[in-house]
Amino acid sequence: MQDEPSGAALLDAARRALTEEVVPGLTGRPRYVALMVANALGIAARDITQAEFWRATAGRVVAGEPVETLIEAIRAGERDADPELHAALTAAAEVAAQIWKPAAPGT
Amino acid sequence: MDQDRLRIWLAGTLGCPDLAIADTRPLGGGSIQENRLVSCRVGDDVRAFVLRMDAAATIASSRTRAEEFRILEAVWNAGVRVPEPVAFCEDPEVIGAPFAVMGLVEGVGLGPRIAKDPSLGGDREQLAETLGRELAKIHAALDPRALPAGLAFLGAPEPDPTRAEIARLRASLDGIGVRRPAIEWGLRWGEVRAPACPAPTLVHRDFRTGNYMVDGSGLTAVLDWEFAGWGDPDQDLGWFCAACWRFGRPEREAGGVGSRAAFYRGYTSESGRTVDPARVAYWEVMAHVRWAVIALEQGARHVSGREFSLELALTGRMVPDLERAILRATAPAAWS
Repeated sequence: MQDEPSGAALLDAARRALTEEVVPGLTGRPRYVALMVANALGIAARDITQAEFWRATAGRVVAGEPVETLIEAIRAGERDADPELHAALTAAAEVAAQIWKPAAPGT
Repeated sequence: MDQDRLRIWLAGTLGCPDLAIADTRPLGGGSIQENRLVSCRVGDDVRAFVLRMDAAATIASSRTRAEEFRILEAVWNAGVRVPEPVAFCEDPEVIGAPFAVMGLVEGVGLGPRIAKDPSLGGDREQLAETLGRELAKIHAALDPRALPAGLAFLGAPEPDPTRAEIARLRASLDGIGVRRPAIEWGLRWGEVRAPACPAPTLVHRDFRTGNYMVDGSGLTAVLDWEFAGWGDPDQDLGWFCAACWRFGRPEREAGGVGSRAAFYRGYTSESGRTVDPARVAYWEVMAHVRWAVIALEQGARHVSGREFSLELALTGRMVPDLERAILRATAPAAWS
């Protein structure tokens, strides 16, 4: 059994502590850096919690082939306007973009 | 930095033997180049210069500082609002690397600040129009058939600059060993849909909010010429208007500062050329593709261990957001 809180939860707690307790007292470059650190902590936390989902959607893109083979086929024009590939790429990009920056609730 | 060697070089180059350096300090901005402010006393006068040199790591697609300086001279002579090109030092012994000296221009360059702070840039529609005019002047600054000797490094325009650009982007991805099917998809779409470019011009290739400066009344200078070369002029229009360069003001389609209509109006009034919205739309998609490749290159500088930078590391991670925009614009129906 994993110790509580989990790594992802700790990262999230660190991010909240930083943004709520440290950032308000900072100005200039230190404030900018602290906000970048908070951003990085948030990404790392979401990376952990969504890892499995991400692997599944990214797996659909390559469908068991090496990624190099897919890229060669795209460059050679063999997958032009391919609706299945477009759908799989879109699903993977949506998950990864949510890890980068989650959409505000209700949008 | 050896301030005395710099003082001797500046005094000799400018023909001011009594020149004294009052202050030097780093200037913010520029993840690829490093800028330094140098304030000098010449007799009773104070002159402020910006020294521009390579940062610790550069990315392969950017020009040398010497080439960038020659281009700056050409656009300065063509009347484009840029910092005054003062001198170039080839000798790496003076401060450790070759560097350009430019006149200091006052203003704010930070993209997010310009987009958010209404006290900057004067009337925003006028700013967008001015930027359109400046871009038209850039595109008319050089005739590829009558190139001054100092700009011979530009060579002749490629017969198909759009596909050449796509080949360069693929080479960049291969160079850093990055495999991103979504970006490959976008590059292939760009290849299939590439518009013809009958008349390549000088293009800035990084003309966007964040790469020019404004004061309270308007534009003070267009900066960052490190990617300039021959290309399709609509590439610059698309880069400027692309959604990824609006800094949280998506409704202001011209760089997050003004309306597209004002920007196009300024461009057309200076160039006499009507803007084709479909061609610009193509280049807006390609702007996302190119920015994604550059972001991956910047991320790779951190990942490779050559340069520690949280900023670069985070830039590398924003790529899925760009991929999502690329995929939305290149759905199967958009291929024919």
